[in-house]
Amino acid sequence: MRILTVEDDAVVAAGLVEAFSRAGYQVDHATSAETAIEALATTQYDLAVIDIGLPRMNGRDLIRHIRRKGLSLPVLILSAHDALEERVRGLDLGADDYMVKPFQLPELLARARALIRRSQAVSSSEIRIGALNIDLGRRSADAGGVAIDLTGREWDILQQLALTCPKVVPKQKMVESLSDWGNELTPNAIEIYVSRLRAKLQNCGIAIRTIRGLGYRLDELA
Amino acid sequence: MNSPDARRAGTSLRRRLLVLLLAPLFLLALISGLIDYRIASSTAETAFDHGLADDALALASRVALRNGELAVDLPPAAEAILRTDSEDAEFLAVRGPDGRLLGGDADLMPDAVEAGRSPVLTDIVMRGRPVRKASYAIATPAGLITVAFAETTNKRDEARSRILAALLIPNVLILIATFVLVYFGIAAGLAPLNALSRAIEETPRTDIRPLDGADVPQEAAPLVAAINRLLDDLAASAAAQRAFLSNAAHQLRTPLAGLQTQLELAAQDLPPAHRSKITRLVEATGRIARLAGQLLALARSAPEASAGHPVETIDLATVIAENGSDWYDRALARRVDLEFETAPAPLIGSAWLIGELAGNLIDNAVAYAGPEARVMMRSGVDEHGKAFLEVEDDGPGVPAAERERIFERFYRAEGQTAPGTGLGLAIVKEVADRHRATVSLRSRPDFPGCLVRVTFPAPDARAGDGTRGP
Repeated sequence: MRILTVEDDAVVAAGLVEAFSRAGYQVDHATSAETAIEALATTQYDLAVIDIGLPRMNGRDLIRHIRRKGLSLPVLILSAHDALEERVRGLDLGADDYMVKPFQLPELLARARALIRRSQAVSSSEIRIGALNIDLGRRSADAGGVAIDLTGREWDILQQLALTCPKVVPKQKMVESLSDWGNELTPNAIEIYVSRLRAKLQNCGIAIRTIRGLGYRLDELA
Repeated sequence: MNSPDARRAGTSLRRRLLVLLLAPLFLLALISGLIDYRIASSTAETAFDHGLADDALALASRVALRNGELAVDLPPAAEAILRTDSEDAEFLAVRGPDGRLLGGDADLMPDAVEAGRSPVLTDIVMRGRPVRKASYAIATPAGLITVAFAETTNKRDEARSRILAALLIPNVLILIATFVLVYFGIAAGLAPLNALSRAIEETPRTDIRPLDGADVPQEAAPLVAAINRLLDDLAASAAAQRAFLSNAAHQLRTPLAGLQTQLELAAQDLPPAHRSKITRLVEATGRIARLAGQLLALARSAPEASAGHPVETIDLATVIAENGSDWYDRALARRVDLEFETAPAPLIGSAWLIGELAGNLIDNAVAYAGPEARVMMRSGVDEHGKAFLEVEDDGPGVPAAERERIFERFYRAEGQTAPGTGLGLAIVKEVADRHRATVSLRSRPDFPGCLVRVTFPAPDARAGDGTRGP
């Protein structure tokens, strides 16, 4: 996995490079949008982490450039600005996620993993979370090579959680996607399926959290 | 005119106008009344004097020379006619050349007047009463005869007081009418000014946008212009201050990010036994970061910062759904159980600011309710159609004495050890004010825990108010 970080602050940049390296990624670093464009032209990256406030050409222009070139790599914005419209603007330009400085490393790494996971699920139809391997094409899951036996409903729930991770799957959305014509599932039924799934996925380095009133979330345990 | 300040005597416009208008008016009425009175009463006096003079002449015509003796030919019936008057007592006297009384009242003395001239009228006192007397003299072969005819002044007094009344009553009525018209007329005339002062009064203290001067009377336009100039200056300096705050908070974030990242990496490098120091440093950095974020929120919740974030119809349930996951993690880190109960709650406002408000409410509940507490966030629409957001916890609550103060900036409850910047609830208050929302608090002992509820105005009520929304 190769990550490009574009950040002009030396201390933050050094931290990013080291954190991603320690997490097992290969990291290239650019201090300006111009160098980033050069790097992107010659190397294929799995993720770009881009600061908005860059000298000369700013991060927004860089993202616009990336999408205009037809590059589909996931882009994570790191910005000192947290105003909502700033965030919306960034996402509208084609960024995939937005984080505000200062950030906590575990969260940054989780978001980076999620972005890479989702973009790879599109190409390889496989998702890896913790020790869990999910093959979307074959509708199967295993933990460290040991196959996990899942019912259809449990599989649907896991797939939805894995694709949405680290975000919350709203309960209502879960109900709607699992119900079919004439067979409406109650939220209680969902809760039962989730707890069964939870039991089967013990020791997989993941946790399925119930956020009462919001929905379910798949967390990767550090 | 309803506020106590406007009623202060020294500055009452109404009183000034009343005094300025009524004093000269009163004086004018007095002078014109006096002149009218003088003219009217002298006209009446002249008419009465004519009658009196005629009586004197009539009396004089009764004097005849009989057998070489002067005598008054005044039979009792004729005298009765002369003396008859409904109002006044009449007196008469005819005296001969030597002053001898030829007829009439002995105590009435005609004045010495030239013979043949029209009767001369004088005021005298007779038998203790004021009396008007006409004196007349005729020359006869037997010598100068003087005649006096007098009457009391009852008729005259009566006429004078009627004239006085006739003049006084309309003048007083005019004065009263003027007073009433001016009194209420001023109120009506000042209505636009009152409306202006009400508009200023009803505006939240934090709202320093210019006043709308369109409906203000010409005379007050300079006042409005001056107030607006002042507000402009105020807005400019407040904006500069907020811009500085916002800039400083932003500038802080990048070095903080660097610091936090390096500290977290350093913590990983150390053996677990030595990590606690670094962990505390990471926590401290997190608090600084949080403070920077809160300063930004405060800067942005200022009215003049409205350009920075759009005001639109938002749903509290959506705001909660978008941020709930982060809040859940913050609560989880403190071993607090956070739950949600959301129902659609539409309102007009800034999604970012409302998110800050809600996040600070949760942080506050999580921090003060303590570990193992339960915190519940709800959204919905109350029985008045108003959107509300509430956060309930089962912690120790807020002592009554501190309920007002906890919304002040940097206020920290006495003996409070929970981590916090003292800005969280101030942000809640500012953002609520900005959205014209009310914040209410229920706490132990009459509530099992602590409940903070933010009630927003109904969207319809806000829609009509175009000029001064957030």
